[in-house]
Amino acid sequence: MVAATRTAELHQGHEETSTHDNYLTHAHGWRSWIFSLDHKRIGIMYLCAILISLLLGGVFALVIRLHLWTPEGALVSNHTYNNLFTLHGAVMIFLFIIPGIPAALGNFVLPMQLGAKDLAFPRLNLLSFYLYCIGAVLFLGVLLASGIDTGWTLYPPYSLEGSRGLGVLLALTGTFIVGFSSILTGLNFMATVHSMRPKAMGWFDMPLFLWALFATGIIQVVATPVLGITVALGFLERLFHLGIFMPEYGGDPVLFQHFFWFYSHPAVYVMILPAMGIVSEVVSVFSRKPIFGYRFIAMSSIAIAVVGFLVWGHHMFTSGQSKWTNIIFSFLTFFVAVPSAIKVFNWLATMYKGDIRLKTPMVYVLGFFGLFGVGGLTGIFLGSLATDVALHDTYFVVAHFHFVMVGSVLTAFLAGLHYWWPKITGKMYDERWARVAAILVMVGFFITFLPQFLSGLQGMPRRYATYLPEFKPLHQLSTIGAIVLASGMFLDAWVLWVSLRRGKAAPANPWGAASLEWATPSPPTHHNFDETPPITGPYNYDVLEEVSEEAGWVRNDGWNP
Amino acid sequence: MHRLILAAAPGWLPPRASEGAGKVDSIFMLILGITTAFFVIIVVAATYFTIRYRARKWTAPQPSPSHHLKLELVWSIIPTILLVAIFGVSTKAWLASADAGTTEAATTVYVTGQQWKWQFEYQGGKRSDELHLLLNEPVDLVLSSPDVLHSFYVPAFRIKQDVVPGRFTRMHVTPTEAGNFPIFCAEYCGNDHSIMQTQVVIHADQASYDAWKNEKIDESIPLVKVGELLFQKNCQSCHSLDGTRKVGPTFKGLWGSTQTMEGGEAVTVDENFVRESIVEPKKRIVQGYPPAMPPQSLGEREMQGIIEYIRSVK
Amino acid sequence: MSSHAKPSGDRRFLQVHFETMGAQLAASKSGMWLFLASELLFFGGLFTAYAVYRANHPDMYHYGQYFLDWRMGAINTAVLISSSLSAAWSVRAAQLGDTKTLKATLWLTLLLAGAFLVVKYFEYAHKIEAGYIWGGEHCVDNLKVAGKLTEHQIEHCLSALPPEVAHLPIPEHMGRFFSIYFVMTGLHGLHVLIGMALYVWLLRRAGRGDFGPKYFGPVDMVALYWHIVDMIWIFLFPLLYLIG
Repeated sequence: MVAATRTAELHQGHEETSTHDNYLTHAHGWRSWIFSLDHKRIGIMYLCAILISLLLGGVFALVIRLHLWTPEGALVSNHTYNNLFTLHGAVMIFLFIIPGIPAALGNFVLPMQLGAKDLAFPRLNLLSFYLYCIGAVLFLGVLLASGIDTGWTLYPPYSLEGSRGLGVLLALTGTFIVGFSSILTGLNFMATVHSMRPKAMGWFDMPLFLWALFATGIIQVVATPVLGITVALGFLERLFHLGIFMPEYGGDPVLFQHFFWFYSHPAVYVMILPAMGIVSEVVSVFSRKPIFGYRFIAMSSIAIAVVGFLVWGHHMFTSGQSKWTNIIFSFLTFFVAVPSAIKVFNWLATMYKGDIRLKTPMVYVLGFFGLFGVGGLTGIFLGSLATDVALHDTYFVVAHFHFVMVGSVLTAFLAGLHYWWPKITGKMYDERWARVAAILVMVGFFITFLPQFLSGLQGMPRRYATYLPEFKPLHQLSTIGAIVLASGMFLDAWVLWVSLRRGKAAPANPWGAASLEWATPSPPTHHNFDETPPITGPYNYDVLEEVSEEAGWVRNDGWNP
Repeated sequence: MHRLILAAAPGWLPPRASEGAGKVDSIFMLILGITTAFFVIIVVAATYFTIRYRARKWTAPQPSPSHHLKLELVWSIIPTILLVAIFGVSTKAWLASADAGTTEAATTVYVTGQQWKWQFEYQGGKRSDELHLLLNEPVDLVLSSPDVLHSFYVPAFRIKQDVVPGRFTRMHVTPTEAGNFPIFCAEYCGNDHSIMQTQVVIHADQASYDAWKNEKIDESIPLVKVGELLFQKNCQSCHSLDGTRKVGPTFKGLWGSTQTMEGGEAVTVDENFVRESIVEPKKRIVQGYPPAMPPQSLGEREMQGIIEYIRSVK
Repeated sequence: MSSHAKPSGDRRFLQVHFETMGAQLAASKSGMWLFLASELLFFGGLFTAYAVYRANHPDMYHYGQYFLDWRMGAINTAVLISSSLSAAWSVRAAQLGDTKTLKATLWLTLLLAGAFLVVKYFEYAHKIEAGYIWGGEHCVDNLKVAGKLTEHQIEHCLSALPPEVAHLPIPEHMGRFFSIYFVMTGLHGLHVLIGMALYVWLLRRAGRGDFGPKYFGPVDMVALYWHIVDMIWIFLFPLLYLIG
């Protein structure tokens, strides 16, 4: 009885808001954006910023690939090449992949999946966005200043030598500030998930994307400060010669490597965990089946986050660290592989006997299985001591981490972007062309990076501006792949642009998804929900019925936006 | 087993020129086999499910369990067992090569990596830009750098070792294949990192090795002589060569011996201990001696010279 | 610390996305604890560097300890512990709505924090004056580098040497000890400064009468922060001043 009244009230509310008051039209003018505390608008601003970073990092990548067309280097000087790969790495890692899924898509979706009106700390959220921007501007400043040719890993003594210009100092400061932004985002997400869940939603009633973001938050809050102190020490070392990292003053350069990887290895999981969260959502929705083994997937996110802290030393097998250190780190590294394997099998089992629709997000996710499969499985070669000593710092490593960090994370990011696009913009996009773009991106990716496994095996070291002629065919194949990949990305950008301009209006729930963000109109209203909708479970598809392609899906308990 | 796997190794692996290389390749092939099997399972399952359960007009998902504890345990435990097995095999092989670095019989070559070239110095005074080795003759490489990080990488040996300024690192290898093989720098070291390449020349017999060694008369003073001159100038007032006790410990039989420090720690005298005793003499004092030695600042070659000299005082 | 009071009347400071003041306070608390975890890891990096150098160069710490005056450190420890007490007291006062005590304890905390920094200033000034500074600039390291120091500087450096170290061999790169000392205490000092700014802010709000039994979150959060700053010092003091 009470429920019925409430439903009636909400329907009334719906009548009033259906005159198109949504978060995009709620306020006008540029001030209403840059001072907005609305998590959705901040998410959109993040999205724009990280897409610009992606474009920038992508252009660097293309120049790198074109330069490597010939063994002696086709385009630029060694010095410029070294700057290019450094900035490519730094921009892609700090400005695109790490904030990509959590800060842009997560920001938009997380409160709505909780049935909440906003994140716990909206002002902090805006602050982290601006910190991100300041950091990004500092990285651009590096370009304008003397540049930076140290590699994104910034290993001393090379990086902290007095003769390096202003670029290194700017990059260290930028990293520190972007790191701060990342900490605040993670903290905000964790506090929100922890304290703003509706009473009816227990920990195990959350969508897996939230589990993934929560696990990511743990890493951001715990690991990023160590990066902060490391770059701060690097900064002071460079200015005041502390003697902590520079052998010249009695410092230990290998200590820097330990500090750096204590953050930067878990950072890989900051990238991949949210990606896995998206895959969990998409694979379930487009198979129209509850996710298989919910608890295993949720717990494996936490397991990855925890074990991820214990394996940093596997980046340093050849650094001269002690024998036992190597053995212990190798052993622990093998255990990170287990939860990842569990997830993959659970996703596949979700598809079993499902009702699989090959919409664009699902196409990306199917590609993700292949890409993450290659990326994850090649990690075993690098965790194993005997083979890593041969393969470390070669193109095999380059290919491996691109499969994980780009192949898997980028495709999951694009899957998420296409999945939530109707919710974010209120517009549908052209399925056919979007799928073509998806296939181009993934085929291009395979052509670019599969040959690099081979050249790495044959001994091609990374970060080489020039190379021995016998590696030429593999490098050229890679370059062709990069062009295919880039054309796929541009095609997709065009598809989304067209959708923005003249896409069909999106229904509230175009895919038949059961998590709460789909219980808001598309685009959502300013406060998402007037009242938290009844919780039916994130993967309970029995409560949904399809009306038509245009009208999407509705809940059969009568509760609809 | 090992040979069988190797026989199946495809041609795209680089040539194998050391004992260790074969072991690495067989482990590589083992992991490749296991991972390929998993990859095939993933791809086949994904493809099959996509085709078989593709949504059509009137289809709906069929009932199937949303979890299955036994199944999930199976696909958690089987990969775990396989991973532990790989870890075991791989670590065993790696230990074999890591532990081999302490054999007394091996000759020593001092490798200096600096921006952006490799320098090799042999016992007896020969220096070269290419590494010359003799077939089947075990060798210890002692690596150091006067500037930044480098990494000594020989694909044909399947080994790599970072070269860290301010300390010595070492690697051990026994060449098993005559010929020339590339050497790369694998740790980024600045502008011309990519031209920091040279090659290892493995001589098939002693005659050819000696011919190279005597090829041109080397002007440079041999390392051991560098060390001797330094000894006469700076060390002999406090360190003896014949075992007599002076202010500091004698050099006789010092190399490779185990010394007890003040505080009870036992230390084996190796490259890094000698370096430390010269650069930071007061950090660890041999028991029963006064902390009297002033720190010295030596160039990388002088450091190598002193080490070579102490080795020679048997 | 935590109070389970669920104020609902005064909703002046209730943000729109929370339903009750209690929910808002709970969220702030979990956020604050996470932030403090993050802070601990931030300092954790430095404690690790401390430990690594201590393990590798015990002589350096043995020697360096004599340069730090444990009396100054002890005074500062007492000062900070009292300030933590008054910070805790201020939370209680806010919860009880006792504005007078609240203001008094906020002032007291602020003043004690200031006193800490004054003592710190004298410690720093003495070291910098004598040339006992960080890393490669440390005067003891540069004594034997010809031409690096002026006559006057050498004299200064030697005359200020603690008597206990006269018979000890001078460890190499002594400056590293002081690098660690300055970075750790400097970063801690920066946190004290931030804490003081926060207390000034709280005093202004307390003056406006913002706080009471229904709304005391900010006082609570700042006090939590202050306890962590205090706690870090309680580790720094023995590690740097006492155990040589």
